[in-house]
Amino acid sequence: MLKRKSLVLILVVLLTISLITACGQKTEAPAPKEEVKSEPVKAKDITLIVPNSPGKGMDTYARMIAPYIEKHYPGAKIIVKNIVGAGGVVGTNQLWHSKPDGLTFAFTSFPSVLLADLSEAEGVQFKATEFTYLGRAATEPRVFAVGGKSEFNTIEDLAKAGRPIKFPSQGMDEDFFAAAVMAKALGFQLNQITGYEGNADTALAVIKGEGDGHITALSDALPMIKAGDKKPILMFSPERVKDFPDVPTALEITSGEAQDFMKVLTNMIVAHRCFFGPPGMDPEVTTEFRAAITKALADPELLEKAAKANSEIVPMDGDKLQATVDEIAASAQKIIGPMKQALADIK
Amino acid sequence: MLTASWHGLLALFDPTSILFMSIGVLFGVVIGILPGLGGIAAMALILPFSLSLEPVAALAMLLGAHVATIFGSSITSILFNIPGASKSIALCFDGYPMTQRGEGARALGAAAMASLIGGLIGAIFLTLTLPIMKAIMMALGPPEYFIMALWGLSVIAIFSSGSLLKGLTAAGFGLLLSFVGMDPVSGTARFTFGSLFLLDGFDFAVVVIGLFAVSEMIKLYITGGSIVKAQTTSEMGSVWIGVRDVFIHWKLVVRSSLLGLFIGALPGVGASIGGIAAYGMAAQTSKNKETFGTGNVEGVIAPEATNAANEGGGLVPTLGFGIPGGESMAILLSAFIVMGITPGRDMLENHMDIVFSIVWIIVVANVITTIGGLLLAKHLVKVTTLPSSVLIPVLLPICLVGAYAIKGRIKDVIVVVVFGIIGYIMDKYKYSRADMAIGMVLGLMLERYMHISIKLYGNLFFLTRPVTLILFLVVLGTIFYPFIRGYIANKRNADESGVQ
Amino acid sequence: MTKKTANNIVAVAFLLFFIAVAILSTGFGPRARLVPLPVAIGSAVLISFQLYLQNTKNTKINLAIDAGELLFGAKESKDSSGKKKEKKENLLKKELVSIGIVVSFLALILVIGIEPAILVFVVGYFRFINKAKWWKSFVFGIGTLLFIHLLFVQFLNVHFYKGILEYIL
Repeated sequence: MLKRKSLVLILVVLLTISLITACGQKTEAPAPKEEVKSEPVKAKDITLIVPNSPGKGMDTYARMIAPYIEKHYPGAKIIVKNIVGAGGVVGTNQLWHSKPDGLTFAFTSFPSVLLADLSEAEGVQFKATEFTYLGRAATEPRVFAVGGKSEFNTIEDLAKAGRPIKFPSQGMDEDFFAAAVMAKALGFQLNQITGYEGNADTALAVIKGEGDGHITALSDALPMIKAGDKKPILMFSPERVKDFPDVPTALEITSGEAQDFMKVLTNMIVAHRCFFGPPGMDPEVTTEFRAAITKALADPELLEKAAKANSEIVPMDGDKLQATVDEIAASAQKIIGPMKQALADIK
Repeated sequence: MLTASWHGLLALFDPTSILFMSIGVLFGVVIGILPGLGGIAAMALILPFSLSLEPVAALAMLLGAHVATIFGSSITSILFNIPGASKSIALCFDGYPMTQRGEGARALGAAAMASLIGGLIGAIFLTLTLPIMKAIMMALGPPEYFIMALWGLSVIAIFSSGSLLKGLTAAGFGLLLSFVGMDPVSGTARFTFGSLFLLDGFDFAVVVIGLFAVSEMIKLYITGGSIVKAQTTSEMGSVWIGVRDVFIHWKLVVRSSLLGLFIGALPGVGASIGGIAAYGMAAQTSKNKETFGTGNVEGVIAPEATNAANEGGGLVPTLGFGIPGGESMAILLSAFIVMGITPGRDMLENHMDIVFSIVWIIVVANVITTIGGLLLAKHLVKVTTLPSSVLIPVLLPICLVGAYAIKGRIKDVIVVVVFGIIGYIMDKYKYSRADMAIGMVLGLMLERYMHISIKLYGNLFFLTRPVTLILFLVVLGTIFYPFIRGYIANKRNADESGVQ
Repeated sequence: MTKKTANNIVAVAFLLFFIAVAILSTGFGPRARLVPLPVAIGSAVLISFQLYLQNTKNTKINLAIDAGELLFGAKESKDSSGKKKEKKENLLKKELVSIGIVVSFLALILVIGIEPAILVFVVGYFRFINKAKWWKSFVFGIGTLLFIHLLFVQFLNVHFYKGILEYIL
């Protein structure tokens, strides 16, 4: 008995030692960051809520940028906290209820926050457009693409198809709602096939011809478009994308009410990955915070790092972002109808 | 082709690449051992660090970590009934009974070797059959995935040793638990009682830690003693017995590896059912079917070989189309893009050396993991001979913290304890926990692919699509083959006795 | 409590669960209940049949429907030997203590947070259940805590739950 116990003891000690050495290796890398910090003017712990899982795209962005906000925001010490659950609703709720003292802010995808609010998703306690928007870190066009062998070549073909367009979807995400709004605006019939496991699954369905098309980030679709496995037929971006001058944007091909629909979608994608705080933040703190984020996102060191990690930074100042969100707030109610219809169709 | 393969190998045999791969492997084993965390966590944690390296070194480190997690999770599944990652759940079914019998070292040896050969076969066949695999991937769709999930359910019969009724009840329980949360098909919140925590459903890894590991701690306290209930003779020797087992069952290893490669190539089917499917296949084709679930080494070899080969299969959609086959492949894909390589057709046409480097990395990482595993095995097994009075207070906190670390939600710790108690009761009254776990894995998969198939091809989708129909018949065949074979054997016996 | 009663309690618990799920499922839309409802009803029927079998015939016959036998021929039932033959009441008491230990550890975590709870639990377990000496108990407690802290907090960057005190204060 005694011998065995001493064996465990040795084991624990050995494991600990090996871990300490392992940690030594790991912690070397982030250490130099600390040196850059300027003299603390007013030391304060700021919590950055990331309502997405650790290690995923949104979290990687947040953790990449956070040290640079610290650097340009005197005295700030940012603690990144992943609060996951219900597709980001849990973390966003927590931000909504936190004090607007500038000590808590969040970073996530604006479209998912907005659409969770508009679709009255389970458990939503916030109003998406009432948050204090602090700055955008990145955005990229989203593309509606059909399979390489598809009968459709332009967006107009969809309305002429004379049958519902099969749209493989992974659930009630922003692309699901965007497709519903798009179908309403362009006047084609839509058959949303929900239940696919993820983006890979829907992409393959489109390539195989099992589904007609799907909406995805342009960078995800790029290799497949280059290889001819997918054809892009509509872009969700304010202007035409440089590499695809022939593919129209959603705004160009619509007018009147249909264009209003597309404007909400496009603006929503413009706001994309952004920092925001609780509603009613103190104007002075807000100005300070926005300035810090703008400076951080222009830091050459960050830009170099981002380019290396293929996580492009496409910044937008807090004031401008807030204006975009306000514009969305004015017209967002219009798309609720088609969204509700889309939800009813899959019940 | 051969020169490209050679160049790929040469690029790998650079000291820095080997060094970083070894670091990756070491890291992967540690992550794999931790309950609940698997290859995805390992790659996500290592990604930022690897980006500053040369492309081949970075890939070596990432893939090395990923490959090593498989064996790492198998270690704890076999020794403590704690699945290190959800895909290694099948290792618990026979590996843990082997440990209890004092054959832990043999099981570890067999697992390490099966992992090596599975990884090799997966990698080699991947290069040889990439065009064929691509064609298979294109030919199969949701209706076929549905049929495959159905086939997975037939494994339930293997564990229903006490009573088929109890086994089916346990499976039904598992199926229903998998439906808790937001239904991805209809957007309905099911069985959540307004709780946002339940809206995300039960995390499979958390439930399994409770069901198998925490319940084992409860049981261990009651029975006392240590995990090992009987001592076999020389432990040092049994590692090599395990290695020999793999060569004795080489046909099983080959079959399991090809199955793993095949399943890995289908995004949406994923790795989780690979181990279970391999286990079912092994049980149905084995000469010693009756000992499955009680510590049959074949039940360790098959899922381990499948899991290792799975990695090769997971690369098919990535290499063929630039589509990530799973979450871990999504991380790999982002690494490719950073290196300026566009996966997909371009890669197959212009960067064949990198494709081969990847294949060789998997091979070499497997070799490193296996050698390490074989050397470590006899030391690791000693831990299971420790008395429960030491094991419980040390392992229980690790299980609970592991459950917490998966998503960082404190309520998961409550879930793990609740399922620990449920698992203990189910085990005591012979409701198979394995059946329940299988039900949980397959529940959502069955449901989602059934709904998709109905929407795409109508209610009778399994009759109207030729590929689906053939697969359906094959599945029916494998389920009923034992009955038919038994019937024929009986008849032949009757005939022979009739002649006399 | 006889073994039969215990068996019945477990089976009835399953039955109630399945009935509850079936009832809840009827409230969903047609697509949402398409799979859960039949599964719940089917499982309820199966467990009712099991209940019937284990109460009408003697206990040996409920093992008669054996998938192992059907599919693969005779199969030895998994033995749970190695258990000391204790009196049933003693076993029940031990079961309750065992589950009690796990549940109190959980309660401890919820109240004072993960890391302090681990220290208290491990030290307490060694001191009061294993009757180890104080210094030894602390060596194990601190060792385990250190191990977990280094692995999860330093290495994996997990933020541990700090207990309900954090929310009250």
